[in-house]
Amino acid sequence: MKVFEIENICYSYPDGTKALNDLSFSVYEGEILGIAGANGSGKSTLLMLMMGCLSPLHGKIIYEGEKLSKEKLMIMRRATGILFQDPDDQLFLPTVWEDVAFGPRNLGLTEEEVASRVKSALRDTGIEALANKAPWKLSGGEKTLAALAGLFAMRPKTLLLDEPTSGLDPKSRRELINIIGRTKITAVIATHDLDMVMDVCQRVVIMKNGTIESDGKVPGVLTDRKFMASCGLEIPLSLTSRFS
Amino acid sequence: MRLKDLYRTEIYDERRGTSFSPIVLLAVTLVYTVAVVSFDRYQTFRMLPLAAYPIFMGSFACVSGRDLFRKILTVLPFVIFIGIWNPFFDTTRTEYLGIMISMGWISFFSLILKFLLIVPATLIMVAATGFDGLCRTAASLGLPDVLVTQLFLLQRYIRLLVEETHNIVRARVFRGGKITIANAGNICGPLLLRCLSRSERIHSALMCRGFGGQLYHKHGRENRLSVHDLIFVLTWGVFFSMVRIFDMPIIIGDLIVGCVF
Repeated sequence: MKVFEIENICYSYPDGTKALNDLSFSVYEGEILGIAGANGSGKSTLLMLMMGCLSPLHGKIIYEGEKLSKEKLMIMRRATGILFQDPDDQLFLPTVWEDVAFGPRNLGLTEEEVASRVKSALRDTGIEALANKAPWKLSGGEKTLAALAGLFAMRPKTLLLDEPTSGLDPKSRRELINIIGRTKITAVIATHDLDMVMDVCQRVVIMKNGTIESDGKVPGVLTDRKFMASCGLEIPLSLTSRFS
Repeated sequence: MRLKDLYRTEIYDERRGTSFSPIVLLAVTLVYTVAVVSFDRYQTFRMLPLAAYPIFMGSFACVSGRDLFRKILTVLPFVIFIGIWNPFFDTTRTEYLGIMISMGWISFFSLILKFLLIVPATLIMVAATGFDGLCRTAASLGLPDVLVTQLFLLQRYIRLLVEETHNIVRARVFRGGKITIANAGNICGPLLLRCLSRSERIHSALMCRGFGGQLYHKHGRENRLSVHDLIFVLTWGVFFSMVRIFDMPIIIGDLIVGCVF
């Protein structure tokens, strides 16, 4: 079943910069899809469009078989969580616990249900010890995990992750990859961490200048050195020794 | 005094070790402020006993005296600037504590004293309730959600705004640039654009987590008062009333003189 269907979407920023040009692809239920591309290729913009934070100039976004209308947008946002590139953008309450509880409270759940979801989300992300800490006193990796816990607490059907490993040290990166790998939910990961794509994604979309250059199975696409170079990317480091 | 001292808000980030309800602290501090302001502008020593409240609350809530002093010093020049005109306009001379002095100077000292009583008490109240507690109380008292949200997010993100300013200033200075009035626009412009961009991202993040304009969901528990709260309110209420009605320094002075001699 298709969760998201992106059909011929185009988007330009108000200053005229063309971000996406006639882009089409689908996200299937249960898959972890990687979206890779060089800086400025339109990955983050694409996630913002999928979440309805931006509106496409042309084309349409279909969620579970229906075009995103105002009502459908609300339904989609209840079932989809987005992790922003900078976790400071989404962590704002005084403690990690309060912040993780923010989403479930907006869902109108009882305080008991909220507490149970927060506990479970903190456990899943391994940050139970940080529950009473102020989010702005956490390290970069901890902030990312706290933001992710905030999404898990909403029990989303789909996750959209924007550069989740950027700025993380190897240990935090590995922890995050393990957590994402363990989740059995549909996920779209926009990243240029191709090793992460290798580790957790089944399919990858390669973007260049706002268009899709390739859409296919992970090992197949990522091992084509010439093609990757033409998109401003390199083959994953884990494959370098085998293919150099 | 450095710029970073202005946004040093750590002491207000989380609630201190008081067990009093934020609503009680807010109410008592409001009454205290009214009591201080109600003194005549030529009365100085009569309001001195009111200093007991910030001293008690400051030590009770374990607020750092250094942080408090720093914040007071930041604002003090503005108060001095307002009050310093009094001696020029109010030149009537009078005898005060055996010294001939103009009424303007007495009102100036009175203003400074009121500032030194009210501002620390307010800062301590914010530190004791935590800014979050204060916003929660304001929301439970019926302050519009949009105002509560703005107040809370302002406090939360002011640090990021100052950090952005630091980054821009540092980037210029490290490359040999100087900050002058003429090029201040070059700093303010990018800063404004960065702030706009960040605020858009924060708004998107809020909306994506189901934010519907209400930051605090009311549970009806915020306004419940305990016996401790009531004793706290009553004790300080009686104390403020006594200081306001009677001339406490004179009474205490007379008592001491009576006991000694």
